[in-house]
Amino acid sequence: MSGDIALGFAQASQFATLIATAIGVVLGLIVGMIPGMTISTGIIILLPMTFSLDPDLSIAMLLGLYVAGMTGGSFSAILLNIPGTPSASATALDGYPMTQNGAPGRALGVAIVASFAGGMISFSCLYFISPLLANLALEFRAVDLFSLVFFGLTVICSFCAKSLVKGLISAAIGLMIVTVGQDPMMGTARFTFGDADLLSGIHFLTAMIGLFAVPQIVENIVNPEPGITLSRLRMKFKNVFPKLQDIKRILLPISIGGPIGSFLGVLPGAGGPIAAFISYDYARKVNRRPEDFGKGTPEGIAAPESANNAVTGGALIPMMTLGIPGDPVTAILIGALLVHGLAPGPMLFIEQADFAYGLIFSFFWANIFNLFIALAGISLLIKVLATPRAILLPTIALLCVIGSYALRNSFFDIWVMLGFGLIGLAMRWLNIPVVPLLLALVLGRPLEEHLRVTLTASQGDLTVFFTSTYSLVFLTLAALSVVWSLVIEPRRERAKQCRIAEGTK
Amino acid sequence: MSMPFKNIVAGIVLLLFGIAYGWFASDLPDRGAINVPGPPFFPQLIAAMIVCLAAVLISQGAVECRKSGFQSIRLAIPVKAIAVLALIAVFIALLPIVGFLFGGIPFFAMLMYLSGANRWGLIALGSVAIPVVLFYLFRDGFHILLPHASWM
Repeated sequence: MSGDIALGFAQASQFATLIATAIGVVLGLIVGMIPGMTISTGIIILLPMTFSLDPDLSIAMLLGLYVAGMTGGSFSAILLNIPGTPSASATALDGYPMTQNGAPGRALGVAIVASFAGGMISFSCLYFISPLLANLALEFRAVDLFSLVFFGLTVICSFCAKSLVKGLISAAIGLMIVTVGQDPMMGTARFTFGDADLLSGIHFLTAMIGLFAVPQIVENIVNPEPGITLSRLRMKFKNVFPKLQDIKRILLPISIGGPIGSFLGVLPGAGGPIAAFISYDYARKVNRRPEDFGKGTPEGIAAPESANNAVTGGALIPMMTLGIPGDPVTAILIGALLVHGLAPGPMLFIEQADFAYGLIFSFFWANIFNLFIALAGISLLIKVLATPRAILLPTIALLCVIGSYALRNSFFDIWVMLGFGLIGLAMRWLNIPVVPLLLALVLGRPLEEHLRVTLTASQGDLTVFFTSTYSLVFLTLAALSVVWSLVIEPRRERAKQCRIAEGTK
Repeated sequence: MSMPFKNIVAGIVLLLFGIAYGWFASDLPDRGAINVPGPPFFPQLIAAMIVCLAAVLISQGAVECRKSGFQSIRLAIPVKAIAVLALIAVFIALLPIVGFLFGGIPFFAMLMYLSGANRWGLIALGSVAIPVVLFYLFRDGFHILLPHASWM
């Protein structure tokens, strides 16, 4: 065990891996701060460049992007009141007023330091909890694994706040797509219509490029957001490094945001925005001067920023140990690992423990680089906000084509990407969420496999799902997750809206 | 087009799709023994799920339509979106023939124009520089060979 930890640390600390992590961090900061660009899109764009790299380099780069993307989102939230990522929405509440009060550098510094602290708190959770959870997961049988994957699928409910039916439709389409190709147990060709290209199924990443990137390109071209000129960004950043006094003030919000973010990151579907708002709310409640929140106080930045960065480490725990994605980004990371022939799950810690620990330590380095690169390069990095969309969007389009082609050197995959782009656009037009489809694409195959193995072993006896302890626990959790998403969460949301409405009166 | 009406249309399309999918699924060879699920088992479950969900979507749309009354059905044709998608489709179709570089340059230029660029110098520079940089970056940096022109 300790040998694997040392090997993992050595692997993550190699010069090439560190450079890859640093490149990922720079790209993440850039992607995160550009409004309209999500971290998922950033990772999708970066993916083709990682195909030829070693898995440890490739994952280090993607982790760097994931971690820094969260921080980058706060830059545009603080400077322009436009959150670069949904997770940075809460940061804008106090970040932008601080900019208006003439302290953009101070606000950015607090955001960067809080992000770092949140990331390190979640790193310690990742480091200590992952191996334990992986050990436990080794005891799971097919029936437990089915219930676990089913529990993972209940994440879908978190993305169906507006319409459960539409969320389930999206998931059903995803499950349907997964059935194209060879049957996982008997190898029978299903829905291939004699086409050899379809025999190996529809590649998960090709589908994702189409679903996420193509609608984003089309949307940005059809409805361009007002351009950001360099003059809007001409600010002086003398005081980016937070003073000791500010660090003392943000200790409590960080100690609230970090654990909340780590915990919510582990829960499938909770995600950065929820963690950020909950932390903001708690930080305000425990503060001696809650009335300062919303007017530009460092505590109001530190709580959400530490929380949304802590979500990253939390979300990696179920991804690495159980192969269950907690959010769209970790779903894409699973796809990236699969491209390199690595299957995330408990066996990762047995068969490739050094790689698993390498991944954890790459996360650690990503947070370190994120702190230093963001603090040192902030004035340079924000110039990217003024990059003309006319350059950015065609470049993304070309990278989408390259990404789809490079997976299997297949022109067919590029057509599939465009097809999924059309599906993505149709889904936007119909207000059908895309994330359930994405999760179904990741979890559909294991769901079918475990279900069929279980039913074969039990000779069709359905009671087996309730007689196994682990299975029963997961099914109960799945039921609780559904109730939480469909009953309690909307209630909380309504209560929050009421509070906001009362506050504005 | 109002959302309830969109839902009805989407529900009908989905219903037909679910039925077709279920029909194809039932045609799959079932090699399973008694009580052992074979290849059609999972697709049939999904087909049933899709048909049920489509029915719910249609009924929800119908109820909402009845409540709010049929609003004017006017379909705005998103010309720019269609142009972008057509451009991507043409680029993909020509890719095996003209290759990434010769196809990528005009594609990039036209997409820049559609994205709002109106300075021809910038369009010319961007559309040549970026595809060329990407081509050589992937070829020499990442060892990923992008499609060549068929005559090269």
